[in-house]
Amino acid sequence: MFARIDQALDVPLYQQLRNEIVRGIAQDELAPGDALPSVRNLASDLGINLHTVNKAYALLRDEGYVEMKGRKGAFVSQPAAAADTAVAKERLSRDIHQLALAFKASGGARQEFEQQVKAQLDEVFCEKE
Amino acid sequence: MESADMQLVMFALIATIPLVGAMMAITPLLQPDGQAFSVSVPETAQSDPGIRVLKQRFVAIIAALTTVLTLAAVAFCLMGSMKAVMALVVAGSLVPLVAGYGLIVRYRRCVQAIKRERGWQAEAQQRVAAIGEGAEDTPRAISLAWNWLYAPVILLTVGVAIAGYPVMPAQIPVHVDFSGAVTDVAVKSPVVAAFPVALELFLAGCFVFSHWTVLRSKKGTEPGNPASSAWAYGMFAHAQTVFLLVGGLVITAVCGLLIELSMIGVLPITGAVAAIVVVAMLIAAGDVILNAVYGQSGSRVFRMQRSDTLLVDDDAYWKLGLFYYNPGDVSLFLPQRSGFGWTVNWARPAVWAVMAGFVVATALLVVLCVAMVD
Repeated sequence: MFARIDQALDVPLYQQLRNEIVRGIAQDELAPGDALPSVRNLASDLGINLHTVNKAYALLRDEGYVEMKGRKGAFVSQPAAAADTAVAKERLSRDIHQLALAFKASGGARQEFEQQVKAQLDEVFCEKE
Repeated sequence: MESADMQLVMFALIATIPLVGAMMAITPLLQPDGQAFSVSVPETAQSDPGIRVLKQRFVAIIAALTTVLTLAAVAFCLMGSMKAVMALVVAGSLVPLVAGYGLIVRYRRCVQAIKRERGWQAEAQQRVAAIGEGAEDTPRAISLAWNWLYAPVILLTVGVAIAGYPVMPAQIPVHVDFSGAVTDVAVKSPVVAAFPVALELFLAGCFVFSHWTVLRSKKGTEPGNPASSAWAYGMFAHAQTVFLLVGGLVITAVCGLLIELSMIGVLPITGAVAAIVVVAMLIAAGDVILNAVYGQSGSRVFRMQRSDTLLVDDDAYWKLGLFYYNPGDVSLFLPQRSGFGWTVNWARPAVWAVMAGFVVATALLVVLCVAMVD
């Protein structure tokens, strides 16, 4: 897969990189056990500094998407490790709650929110099938 | 025999002029589509009339300069004026380079003006990198381990030096003039006998270091065509490292072994010099062909779809369009922007240390040469 970041966006680069790797896992472009590039190689190819990639990898590790194997580097985790933990479920619930609140605050209706969520779910889960 | 050797040397030296000129003339034509004279432009800008005229003018000027210098060198060679030929060879190797890079700097400003006029602006600043198992199937530079092949070459030269030392003459020719007459000699000693080995170690060190820089370099992946540009870059890096290894082994072996054999007296020094110069020219010619076939970063490997969107603009990091200076980029090495091969990120202190190391190693070799003749 190709990770794509955009330095012109307001989203921090480490967050963009984290999102790209999560997208790769969700779309089966990265399989459990796949090695991620070394921090130095990835930083060099993206033309950014080491700390940015380190932050993205740290975030992915905390979220359970990636595991570190000492000097061997970073590897994609087994899916169960990422999705089935209480922490992951709590985070998902919190994120949906925040999105729903923001949508309602901006005048959105429940039905419309549900339609948007369904459309996104269809897109993401269809790609996996 | 010696006169024939020196004629061959002169012919090969004169050939440097068209080789350097050809390399310079094709430089702006074979860069990736996302840039013109070191300015980031949309890929479709390659067919812009203003940019096409600049490219044609560049080729015409460099070709004319090269032709004049080559013909002058051939004329002086036929007249037997070897000093004038040598002066023209030096000028002929430098003038197309200096004129070419001068024109690139000048035309860069012209392209910047065209860019402003046409309103080409990057809405994004995208970067892409290959991640995961699929990336391993992409062609890539060959392993650094191949450089162990230098070991038998150097050991063979050491063996020849040890075996030949007893029969080595007391005074060893180390310099000849254009007629093939010896003008400098060195007194036989273990240090003198070891010089070809030191030269081989220096050359092998340079080639291994160059190979390592390719492996450590940022890859030339373009956001508009990430998969095809990554593939093309991989093929380019593969071809370049294979050529570097083969060319490096040949020139190292030829330099070390032939000089050692000429010191022992098995081969006349003029024969050794002729062989070294001819091999060096053949390697330089091979490099021009390789670059013409692949293009910089593999730009000629695929006929890629040209986009009219500018996804990234790195102009601010390329000082004068030639020197990359980006403190926010961890890369030490990266693909050249106005030339073939790779360059350095001058914002990294390690690059300055590497350059200092290279200067010291070269100075040591020169000191060894001087000490040998003295």
